This record gives sequence, C-alpha cells and structure tokens, in this order.
Amino acid sequence: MTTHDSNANEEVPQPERSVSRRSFLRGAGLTAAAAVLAGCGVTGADTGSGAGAGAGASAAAGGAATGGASASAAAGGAATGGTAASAPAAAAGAGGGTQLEFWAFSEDRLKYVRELVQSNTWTSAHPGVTVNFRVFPYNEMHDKLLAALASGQGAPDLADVEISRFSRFIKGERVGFIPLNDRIGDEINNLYTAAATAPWSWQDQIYGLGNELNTCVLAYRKDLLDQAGITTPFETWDDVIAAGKQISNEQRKMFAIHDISFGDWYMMAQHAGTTMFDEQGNYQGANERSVAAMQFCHDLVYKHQIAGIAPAEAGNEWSPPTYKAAFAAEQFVATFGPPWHFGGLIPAIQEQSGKWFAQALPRGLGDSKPTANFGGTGMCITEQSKNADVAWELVRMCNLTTEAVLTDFRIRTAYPAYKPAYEDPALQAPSEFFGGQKIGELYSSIAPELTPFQQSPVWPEATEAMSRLVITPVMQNQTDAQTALTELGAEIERIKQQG
Amino acid sequence: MSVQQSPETAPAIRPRTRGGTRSWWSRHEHDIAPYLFILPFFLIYGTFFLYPVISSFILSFYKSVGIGSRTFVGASNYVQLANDPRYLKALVNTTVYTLASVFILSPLALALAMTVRSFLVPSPNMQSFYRIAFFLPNLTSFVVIALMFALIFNKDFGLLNQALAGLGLPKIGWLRDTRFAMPSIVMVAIWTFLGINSLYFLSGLQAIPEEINEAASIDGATRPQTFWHVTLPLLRPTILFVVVQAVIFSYQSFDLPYLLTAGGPSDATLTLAMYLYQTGFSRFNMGYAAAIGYSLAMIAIIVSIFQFGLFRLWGEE
Repeated sequence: MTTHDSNANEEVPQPERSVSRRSFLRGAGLTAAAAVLAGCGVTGADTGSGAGAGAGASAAAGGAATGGASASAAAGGAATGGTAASAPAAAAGAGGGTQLEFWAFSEDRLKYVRELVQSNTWTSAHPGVTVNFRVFPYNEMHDKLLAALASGQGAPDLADVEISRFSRFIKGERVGFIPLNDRIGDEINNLYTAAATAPWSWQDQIYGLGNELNTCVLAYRKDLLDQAGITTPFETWDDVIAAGKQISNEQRKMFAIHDISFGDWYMMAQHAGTTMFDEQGNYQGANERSVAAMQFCHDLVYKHQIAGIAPAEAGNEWSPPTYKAAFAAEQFVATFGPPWHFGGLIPAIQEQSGKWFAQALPRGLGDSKPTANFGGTGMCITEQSKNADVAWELVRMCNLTTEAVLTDFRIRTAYPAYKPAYEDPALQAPSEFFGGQKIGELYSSIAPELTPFQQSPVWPEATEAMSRLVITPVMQNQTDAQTALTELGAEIERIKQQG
Repeated sequence: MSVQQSPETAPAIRPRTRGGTRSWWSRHEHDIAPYLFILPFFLIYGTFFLYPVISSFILSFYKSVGIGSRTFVGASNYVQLANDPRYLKALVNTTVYTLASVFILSPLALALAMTVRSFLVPSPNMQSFYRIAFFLPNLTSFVVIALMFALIFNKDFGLLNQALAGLGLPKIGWLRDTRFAMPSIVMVAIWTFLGINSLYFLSGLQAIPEEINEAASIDGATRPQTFWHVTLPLLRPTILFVVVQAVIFSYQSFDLPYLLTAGGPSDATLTLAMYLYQTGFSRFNMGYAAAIGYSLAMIAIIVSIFQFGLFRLWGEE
C-alpha cells in the first residue's frame, strides 16, 4: 500500500508506466543492436583469425581444431597492416599482421606444416604472418569448404583437399580455387606431376599442389616367409598366392581386402593398366583388365583363401584402429599400398620393425605395371583469400622445398613428389622398419611408372558408387565382377545426367 | 494491478507535446506498442523458419550444382525423384525403419510401461529407479551410443560375435552385411528410444483412474479383457502421440545410421535424411536436395494425417 498523496498517486504511476514501456523498447532496441554487433564480432573472430580468437573458435568447434603457432601469433600480434596489398611485402619479409586461415582434415599430415611454420626458415622470411590451423573431420571439412566457396564467404585462405574430393569443386561455373600454373612455373619439371598436380587440375589449370608420391608397393613380413622357406622378392602373383596358401590358416591370412572401400581394386586396376575413366572422362571400368583386377581381389578371399575381409568402420573405411590392431595381432601379414598407408600402419606395429620388406608389384595381372597411384592431398588457395601471395608462399615452401618434404618424410614416411629431394641422403638411407632396405630407392625407381590420374567431375560419386555397387557385392560374394562393373557404368551415366 | 487511463485524460496527465502538438508516437503508441512486443517472435520466426522454408521450396525448382550455377528446371527435380533408384531405396529403408519404430518399438515400450506399473515392481522407489534408468539413454549423445554399439557389433572383436563364437555360431557382419545392417540399426534405435517411449506410456497409464480398472474387475473382466477393453482405449491419446512422433522422427532419421554405417553397405541403411545430406552438402546439388526435403515433409504430413484419421475412427468405434 502506497502512502503517496493523492496528486502524486494520480500522476506518478502513469509516467512510470509510459517511461517503463519506452525504456523497455529502448532497451530492447539496444539489446538487439548489441546482439547484431556481437554477431558481427563472432563472424570477425571466426574469419578474421586473430591468433587467440582463432584458437578459441576452434576449441568451440569441438576441440578438434588447434590454434595457430604461438610463436607466429606473438609475432603477428606486434605487427600491423596485413592486407592483400601488403601481402607481397609480407612474403618478402617486410609485411606484418597477415593472418592465414588453413583448413585441414588430418592432424598427422599437418604436423610437417606446423613444424615448417614454426621454423626459422618461415618465421625469418615471413615475420608477422600468423597461420591459424583448423582441423575438421574429413567429410565435414570438405563439405564446409564447398559450402563456404559456394556461399561466397567464410572460406579459409588455403585448405588441404583430398584427391577424391577435389572434383566436387569443379562442377559449377567456377572452381573456387585460384590457378597455380604461373606461380609453379618451371618448378613443374621438378615434380612427379601424376602425384603432385594432376589430381588437382582441371581444364589445363592447376588448382592444388601435393607433396606426396603415392607409389604403391607390395610389403610383407619377410621373417615369416623366410621361416616358411619362401623365396622373396616375388616375381609373379602366382608366387604370392602360393606363398599365401602356405602361411595362411584359420587365424592368419596374408592380405586384408576391403569390402567397403574401392582402394584395393583401384590399385590393382592401375597395376593391370587401366583406370576408372579414360582421358576424355568416359567410364571404362567394365573393360577386361578392370574386371580382372576386381576378380583378383575377390579370388584372394574366396578362391585362394589367402585374404580376409579388412576390418573397417563407417567414416574410416580404409584403416581404422581395428585394422591396425589386426596387423599388430598378426592376423594379416602382407599388404599393398602407398607410403601414407604404411605411415599410418607402422606406428601400430612397431614391434614388427625390421621384419617387413617391400618390393614393386609382381607380374601376372594385365599390364603388370610395377606400381599404382593411390591417394594424396593437395593444398589449394581459395578465391576468397585476401592473402593469396602469402598463402602461395606457404604452399610453395610446403611442397617445393626439400626441407619441408623431408620433414614430412621424417614424420610419417611420406615420400615426396618433389624430385630434387631425392638427392638428399635422408631419402636414400636404409629403413629400419623395412629391415635396412633402401626403400627410397624403390619408390623413386618405380615413380616414373605412375599411372596418370584421369579427373572427372563425377569422380567422388563414381568411387562412392563403385564401393556401393561393385566392391561390397563382389567382396561379399553376392555378384560377379563383370556384372557389377557393367552396372556401375549405367549408374555413372545416371549420375552424370543427374548433375 | 494494472492502471487504466482513458485516452481523453492522457494528454492532460502526460503532456508530451512540442508547441502544443502531440508527437506522432504519442498518438499511435497504443496501437503500435502491442505489435512491437510480438515483433521479436515474428522476426525470428520469419528469418529462421519461414524464409528458409520458402527459399528451399523455390530452390527445389532449380538445378543448383557446384559453385555459382543455378538454372530453373521447373518440377523436373520432383520428377527425377520417382526415377532415382537411390531415392527409392532410401524411401524403402526409411519406411522399414519407421515400421519397426511403430510396430516393434512402441509395443515394447507399452509392455515395459505396463510391467513397471504391474505387481512385478510394487515398490514406488523401484518404479522411480526404472523411470530414471529409462531416461538415461536420452541423456547420452548419439555419438557415444554409436561408438559403443560399433564396438559391440564389430565383426572381429565385438561383444555380440564373441558371444556367438562362444555358442559355436559363425561371426556376423552386423554393420557390414547388407542383410543385417538395417536390423542392427533398428536394435540400436530400440535401445535408445525404448525408455523415453515407455515413460510416455507410463504417464498415460498413470492418468487412467484406478477406479475404472477396479470397476472392470468387479464386473468380472479378466486382466487381458481389462487391458484390451479399458486400458488400451483410454491410452488412445498417448498411443496417438507416441506413434505420430515415432513416424515423424523415424522419417527424419539421420544420426544413428550415419554414425554407424554412413548409409552402407550398398545403401542398405541409407535413409532419406542421409540421402538429402549427401546430395545437398557433399555433392552440393542443392535444388535436388531441396526436392528430397519437401518430399520427406509431404510423406510425414500425409502419414500423420492418415494416422489421425485412423485413430479418430478407432475412437468412434
């Protein structure tokens, strides 16, 4: 109960109500404006890539992302004026405050880039340039990158683009990455282009640069084969099969063949002398050599019974922890694949170090090429980058310098696609894991035989359809290779029409 | 307590004039203010619901592939749906999953709720315990659930296959074999959603007055008769709710199949929502993805209307 006098009682409540409403509306307006500003602030932190904000936003994104190099961030904090115009100056070592946003999907692959960015080579040449690394899961990173490029905002300066995902970026009116032909220049002659540029090229333009030479080799537990009195290296696949029959039993098989990933067929098809698409981008997977490659994979499991179905998981169809655990438990004792395949496997089977041996693929399947080209990741600079010159500097140093590619070799045994690096003794040194074998010599000797990569705008859909319509049904013994690969041709035509 | 004032007295009490003329705001304040108060809701609704709904509907009439291209194609995206074997496969898979939700999950949930209400769990404390236990899977992230079941279903090291091996039975590729993948997903869905659906039924059962059951008992009805002729008809609103939400959410199913199988093997667990995601965000064929989305919405609406009609008929009977 109020004790105001009557006049006050008549007048005071009304102004209070009116002011209250006004205040409320004013307050609501201010709150809305603050929210809009805050929203802009968040966007700025996300894309503007202050070292601290970038790391914070990355952490908020689920903890998968990691902040930029702290040393660089400190240098960046003291510098100013990082703009597109100043980027060349920064590249020359005079610029400051330039922020590079780098998206990736593999922390393992990123290790050598991080090391490079923290090295004197980079920091002395590019003081004040901060690189904010953000690591997303494989699918999410590529989907997010495509969405950002399509929407016209939010894309990073540069990104790792996996070989199977690049063609998703070439479907529209423009690619979304900047061409690198002029920037690469004569260095193109120093590259194994089948691995370094072809997978990220379209219509004579190079949009990405990869550092890995993904030459596939056959590797096996030589100690077990020696114990069984088997002669190595193998000359033919028949020799391999005979050896497999000798050492395989209920608990142990020679190979692990995948039933939800197209990789085994892909390697064997190239080995046999064919690929999924021809030079014009037409499907040719139902040809004799391709069918023979698929039948070969099938027969290893069901006819010769020297292979088991590889442990695999949704989202990690190639080498999940269970796959590596099976090798560690000696359930499988041989495999074929590129260096990154062994790079992932070796840490899980370190106790088998010195017992493995690698060789070129044996003869006896189609053209019997000594190797195949499988996998790879290229660095692409997005068209939205305001620091394209600095971004190129990073791409160049990561892919076209011996120091960087040897760092990746040291960290995950990724053999380089940059030819001058092969002159370095490090690549010719004996490999402890492969029993003192000079495996660098092996890779460089067969690298010229790499099958050129034939790009297609429907490459990811085709490989996905390959797994769905061919690999799973054939490797689960539900259909034959010829029928499945013929059906795949019809499906790829349908995919092309669908767009 | 509100303070009312007549418009006639307001100027005298609250002079807000400049040079004797009331401001525009003073004259329209009472008309406009209510709309301003409800404006935030409509702004948010319009921006985050209405605009995307309309925009995606328009988008479904365009061919929008990759970066920078967009062409009007009329209804061809919808026509294409009817001839797309992957869409039809996803539709069949999603329908199977939905039917399992309705005809396996819902009856099991009802049975579980009846059990907790029955003489088998006489203690109120134990009933509370079960209610909490039923709700726990709902507090668990789908990612955690998927990781857990991926281990249980693992062909080489999984718990289920170890149990089968112990019985001398062959190993099964629960998530890798096209015959077992969808049943495995359904099993995980049952584990995940059984509890919350039981709670719905439990609350429905608790709303039925005990006197009605007693009256039926006095009239000589057996337990099954009481269930069929008393309990079940009175549970009709709860059953309708459970079934309708099961159908709607099942047709939107994405998380569990995506995490456990990513739609494989050979599309055996591909759902409509997953196909929409793949089409829209992996292939960036946004027009076609929008058409898939609208077809999904239409299916859910039609099935729900059918269910409402069915339950109305049941009520009339």
